[in-house]
Order: sequence, then structure tokens, then C-alpha cells
Amino acid sequence: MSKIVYNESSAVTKYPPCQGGCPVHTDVQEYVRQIAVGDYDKAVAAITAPNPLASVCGMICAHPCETECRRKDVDEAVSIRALKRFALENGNWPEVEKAAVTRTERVAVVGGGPAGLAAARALAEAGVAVTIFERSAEAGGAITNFIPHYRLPMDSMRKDVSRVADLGVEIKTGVELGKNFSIDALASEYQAVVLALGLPTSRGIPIPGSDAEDVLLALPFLNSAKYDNFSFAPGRNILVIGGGNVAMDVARQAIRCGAESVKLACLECGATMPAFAWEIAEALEEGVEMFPAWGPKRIITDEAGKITGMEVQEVLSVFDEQKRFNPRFGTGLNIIPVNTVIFAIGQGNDNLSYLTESGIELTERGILKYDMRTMQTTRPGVFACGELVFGPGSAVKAMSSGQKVALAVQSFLDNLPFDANLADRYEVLGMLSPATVEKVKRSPRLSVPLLDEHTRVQHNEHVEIGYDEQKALCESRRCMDCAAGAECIDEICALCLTCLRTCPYGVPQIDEDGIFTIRNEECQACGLCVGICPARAIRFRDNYVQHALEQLGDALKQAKGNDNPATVVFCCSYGAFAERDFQKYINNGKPQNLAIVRVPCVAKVEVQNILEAFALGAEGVFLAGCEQEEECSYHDAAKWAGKRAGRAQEILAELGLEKERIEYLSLTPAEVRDFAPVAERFLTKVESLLNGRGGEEQ
Amino acid sequence: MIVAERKPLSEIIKAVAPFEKVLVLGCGECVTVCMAGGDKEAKETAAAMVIARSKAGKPLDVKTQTVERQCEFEYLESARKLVEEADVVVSLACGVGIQTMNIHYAEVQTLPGVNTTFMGLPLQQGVWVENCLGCGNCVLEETVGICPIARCSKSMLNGPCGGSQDGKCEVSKETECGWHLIVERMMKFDKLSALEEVKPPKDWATSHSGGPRKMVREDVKL
Repeated sequence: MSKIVYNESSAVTKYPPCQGGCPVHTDVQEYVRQIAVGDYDKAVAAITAPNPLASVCGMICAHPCETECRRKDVDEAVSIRALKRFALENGNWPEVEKAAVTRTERVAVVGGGPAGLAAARALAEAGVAVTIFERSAEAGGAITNFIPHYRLPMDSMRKDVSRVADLGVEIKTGVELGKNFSIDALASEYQAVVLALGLPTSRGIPIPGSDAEDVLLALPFLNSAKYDNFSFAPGRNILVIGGGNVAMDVARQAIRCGAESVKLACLECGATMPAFAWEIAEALEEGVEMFPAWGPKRIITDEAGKITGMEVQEVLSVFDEQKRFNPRFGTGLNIIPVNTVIFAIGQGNDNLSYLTESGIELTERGILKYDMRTMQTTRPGVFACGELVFGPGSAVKAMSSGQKVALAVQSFLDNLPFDANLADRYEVLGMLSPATVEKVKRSPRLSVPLLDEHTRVQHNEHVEIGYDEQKALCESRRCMDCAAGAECIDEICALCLTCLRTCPYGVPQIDEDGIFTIRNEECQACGLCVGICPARAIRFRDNYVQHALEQLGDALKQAKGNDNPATVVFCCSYGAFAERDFQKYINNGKPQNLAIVRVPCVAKVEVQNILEAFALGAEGVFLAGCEQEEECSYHDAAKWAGKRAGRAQEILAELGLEKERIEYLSLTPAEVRDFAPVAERFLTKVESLLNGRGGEEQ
Repeated sequence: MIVAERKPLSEIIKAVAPFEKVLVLGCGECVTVCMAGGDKEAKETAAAMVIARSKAGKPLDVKTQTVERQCEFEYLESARKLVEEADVVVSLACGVGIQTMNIHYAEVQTLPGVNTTFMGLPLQQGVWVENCLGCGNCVLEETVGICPIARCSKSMLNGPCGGSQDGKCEVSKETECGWHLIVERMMKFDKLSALEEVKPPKDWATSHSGGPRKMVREDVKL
């Protein structure tokens, strides 16, 4: 195993915004692109490579990738998370092979949540023997313990955890640090220990009445709803305090637990509520009544100690000028009549005082002392990661922290210095310029189908239905392939400006100093410039187009091995051409003498590619584009594909061959789905041409 | 720049008929820009030759390369390996490049793959027009920046002639009358009176009519 030293010269990677925004740097572009061309297996491979909890993320990821997506400046971000789920449910997953243990040292990871699982997987992949110690009956941490069934079916988490175990990670459940074993005991067996304890304790607020019987805390409530079939007695009117995602989970879960009514009050006003907008929207749809900008003052109880309501006070602001949490209240008061209160205002760590016996220091407030650079506690060799050290955050952020701690542990075992700040150095592509934004075709985000709100509150079943194939293929085409497209090979470029004149997005430009550049970061990857550049000085930064066109040789070789004339179809890879049925046709249904080469837009097929097909022995070439001008994200694709075909026809005619051997057609999705007659017609035409019966249309 | 167009494929194919190994050599300058002989055209031409020869049952080994500028000996060196392996070279450069090849690789024949047509500009993408004849004695100052030599079908110095109708030349309705353009532009700059001066016949000795031209700069010569 190579040993890596992290220093100021450590590599800086440049990511598109989605990949930069993803804490584990999933190659979003790659998997969205693979979905768009119907290769779900490759999409799964790209998704699972950096992400130990891929299934979970497909369902509930906070998707910072979407927050960063440049498409949001055009219309709306690509629905990346839902596409991920689609791919994971429709592609084959790569087999997990047990990782070879190549190091003698062993590492203990305490806590089997996202951070711990990610740390363990990364360490196992690096050849380290790892054991996870999880106090619950099942690994998964907060995701397993608290995320409601209606948001995340258990199968997802179990699939992910089992894949970590399959890698060779030992997962011991039902064992708790501080009760069943100590750090000292671990240290005697393991050369490094990673604490990934999370923030499993709900906080309440010490206001009058908060000790009443029907005051509940978010996490225990969610856990008993999830595992103990908890339901409210009839007539319970609930008030949830809090405006974050956990509060939304609690409110929506409370409805499913039989509450008569569910209200929610929080300090923040509607626009600044920390919960995700869609969580708030779905909670509202399900009947949660919200009181934003009302802070809890006291819980009102009757003589018997039963809650009759909560007095709330008007909130003027939540944060002070230094952006510190410092709510200011106005004079307005209100009483919300409820008989149950659930606090969902935040989480903290458990009492960690037992750690001090093992030489791990805590702050005065009982928080772990921690070196952000080495990721170690005050006891050398004892590391920490995840929410325990960076506070409440998303699962994917916790995983990133776990992966980083795995690097820290390896450096420690190698006796090398480590600096977490240098272990993940990257730059992110900037914004799309307003001028380009103007020119990108608008294409509204496809909403993800959900169960209707009346049905879904009746049970704990998963709310999200997810995309079907057609929707996923359509949504995935909204990706703008940021910076994956054209770049200029300066040494070859003749500065002819053909690209500048052709590009529909104004990407090539001459700056004010008269210098010509192709601004790759603005490129929309339509490929028109590549096809027309006379110097062949433009290439795509990602090689997917080239790779697609390289399929010609093999496809034609197979098509040639029989009596019928070999004929090539260059077709689009998107839309109906990406659907499973069309791929089945390619693999099993097409005539043997037909070679089908799917290209990400037929406008990317060059005259030379068409001629090459003939040079390799094809007798006819059919270009099948898509008649989906509205769904196609490119400009003028049909126009240019038609021109290429026309030029190739002219050359064929010059050679004394019938120009009818080349044909370009835009096909409707229906024609693509029933491609056999389309292919048959062209094959018959080619055959008649060969038999000297002319090229008349049939 | 120099504008050229690919020769009819039948001509090229006929020219290479006796050969089995051909190098199609593109040029990265003018003929790339006018889309007649850059790398893309070289590859297309090569593919077309392969198709034609395989249909004729006489397979052809075709390689392609494009050099930075075929009219410089030094740039031609990068093609040496392929040139020496080939029976013949088809150059897609302008006539200058083709001849440079024949000088530099005197042992190998380099055939023309393009017709060099004119010096001109791309009026719009895909449309090139002639606007300089290289006469060796520029008169653009007298004709408000529009060349009567290149843009008048008769290269008249005192125009327009009676064949100018509605701004078009009698030679072709597609062709603008250069002198019509000159007159319009002179009106814009209030210089019409210049037309009253009759220009003497042009001394064509500075043009190709004076024989092949040569230019020497002693200050930069080695």
C-alpha cells in the first residue's frame, strides 16, 4: 500500500459543483449521464464507489449536490437524489469482494452510524482489519434508530450495512462503550480507536411545565414509533417544538401515530426554518399546522398536571448581529391549546464523562476535546468523527468525516503527520455566466411522484414512489454536463472561429485583448463544435462521446458475419433510445446484419464516422435522431445531423454510390419503441440498391 | 487567407490508381480554415478513397497526417516517417504547400488534393469570397477600400462599365459589381469627385504578369 503524505503540495482536484457539494464527492455527472443513456449498472457503480450508504442516500440524502447544481440558475436543480434512487433500484450492483487484510494493525470503530460505517469501509478497503462496536441491535445509527419508515424503508439501510460487512468489516451489535467495555480495553487489542458516537440525545427546554407527563422528546418518540408500534391514545393534540428536519419527521410521524391534530411552533419565520422546503411542504400537505416565529414560553397544565396548552411568544429575531443564536421576543403572546408537547429542538451527545477515565479529556461543557487537524482526541490513537465532533449534520457529511478519519488513522499507523485540511483539497467550478444561462433551453424539473397525502398518512409505508424509467430518462437529460464538454487543443487549433460561429451558447469567445478561448466551464456539451471543427482541435473533456463512436468497429464486425448486407444505424442514446426495450432490441431483437451504435446525440456523428462505416464494409448508414425537440436539451441537433448526412451523401455520390444508402430521420418515441419496422424498411432499401433496383422510397 | 476546395474525389482516386500506399497530408493553416484540407478533410478524403478502392476490389492503404503549415520545410519534417512509407502523397494544402512538399521530399511525388481558388474571406460561415488578386500594387486607398482588381470581373480601374445593373455584374447575377460598391462607398465619404480623374492603364509588371515574383529582405536573411 502506498503511503500518502498530506502537505501543501497535495493535489487539488477540480469538481463540477454537484461533485464538490457532495461531501463524499460522488461523481454525480457520471451517474446522471449513465442513467440518461440507460446504463443503470454503470450508474450504480459510480454511485456506490464513494458512498457506503448509497441506498440510504438514494432515499433520504440531504443532497447538497442539488443545492449546488448550476441548473438552478436556469430553472431548477436537477433532481439528482431521486435519479440516484432510480438507478439503484434499476441497475445491478457490483458484487462486494472481501477486502484483503494487508496490515497487521487492527482498528476499532465505536458507533455504527454513517460516520462509523464510512470509516470502517474506507479502512477495510485500505487493508485494515476493522471491528465496529454498535450499542443498538442493528447498525445504522440515527438512520436506523430514528428515520421514520415512511421516509426510509429498512431494507435500504440493511442492504448498505450488509455490503460493509461483506467487505470484511466485523460488526458487533448490542455492545456499549462505557458499559460493556472501555477505551483501555479496546486499546489493548486495537492499535487505533475511532469514536463515531453521533448525537443520540434529544434536548428539551427548561421552561415552566416542561416536566409534565405528556412532554416527549423527539428521538425517543421517533424510535418507539419506529420499533414499538407506538400510537397515541385517542384525543391527543400534539404541539411539536422545532423547525428543523427532525421536527418535521416528528410532526409527520405523530400524524401516523394517531394524533387527533398536530401543530408545530418554531422560532424561525417560514422562510428561515431550517427544515428542507420539501419536508415542510409534505408536512403541510399531511395536515400539520405551523406556527412559525412563535417561541415556547411555558407549558400550561391543569390541577391534575395535565397539559392544556402552550403559551408562545412572538419572535422578533433568532440570531443577533454576530449571527449568534440569541432570540429576541416581542410582546405578542398566544396560547396554543394542545395536550401533548414534543421537543424537537436539537440533539447533543450522551454523557461522555466515562471517557475521562481513559485519558480522553472533555471541555467544561462535557464536549470532547478534539484536534481538527489530526482528528484525534487528547489520547493519541483515539480518533473521533461525525456529528460527535462537527455537530448536527447530514448523513452524507458524517460519512465524509468517517472517510477522512480513515485517512487520519492510516497516517497514524504509518507514523506520518496528518492534516485533515489537506486531505481533501478541491476547487469547484464557478457559476454559469448569465449570458449562457439565457441561452440554455428551459426544462422544468420533474417532480418526484409521492403517495397522495390522504393515503400516506394512513400508514408508515414509504411516501415516495419515485421516478419510472421515462421520467428518470427525461430528468437525467436536464444535467448540463458542466465542464465535461468541449475544450480546445491549442496546439492544433487553427483559430478559424468556426466553433465561435456555430456554438449556440456563445461558449467560444474572443476576449477584449483579442484572445480566442473556448470557455469549457460554460459549455453545454452539445458537441456541435466538435463535429464542425475543421482542425479536429476540439475534444470533450470526458470521453463518453468518443467511447460511443468507438463502438462502430466491433458492432460492424458482428454485423458482417452473414449473408445480408451489413448496415449501420447511428442513433441517439437518449430518451426512448435509452429505454430498456430498445436496448433489448439491440441485444436480442435486431437483425444480425444491423449494427447499432448509440451516440449521445446524432449531431455528434461526423461525416467521417459515416464514411468510416462504409470503409469498414457497411452498405448503408441510417442516422436515427429523436423527434423530441422539446425534450432534447440541445439546440439545432436535427439540423446539423441532417447536414452531416447530406454531406456524406454528396461524397458517396462522388464515389459513384447511391446517396440513398445514407438516410437521416428523426423518430418519434413511438417509432423508437417499435424500431423493427423502421430498420426493416431501411434494410430492404439498401438491399434493393445493391440489387440495382434503385433507391426509391418504399 | 488562401481559399481552396477539395478536388472532385474521382480525380483524386484516378490519380492514386497506380499506387497502393497513400498518405493524405492536410495543412493546419488556410485550407483548414476554409475547410478544404485540414485534418477533418484529410480523414474524410482518406475514408472516401478506401471506400472507392474496396468497391473496385483493389484495397488501398491510406494514412493521414496534418502538419502545422505545409509551406514551411521545417514543419514538413514531422511527416517524414509517413511520407517515406507511402508510394505517393496527396496533399490537401494549397498549391504552395504541395510544391513545398515536392521540393522537400523530392524523391516522393506529392499530388494535389485540392484546387487552390483565391485569396479571400469567409463572408459568413460556409461562404468564402475572393477579394485580393495579389497584383503587387495596391490601389485600395484610391477606391475607398474596395478592390477594383479583384472585385470587378474586368479588373477595371475606371468603372463601372455598362454591364453593371442593379449593383450586379453582367458576368453573373450572383456577383456584386465591385465598381457599384466603390461608388456607393465614395458617396458615403463624399469622394465621388475622385471619379473624374481618369486612371491610366495599370502596370501589371508588379503582378504575376511580370513573371514569378520573389521578395528578399536582406535585414532578416541569414
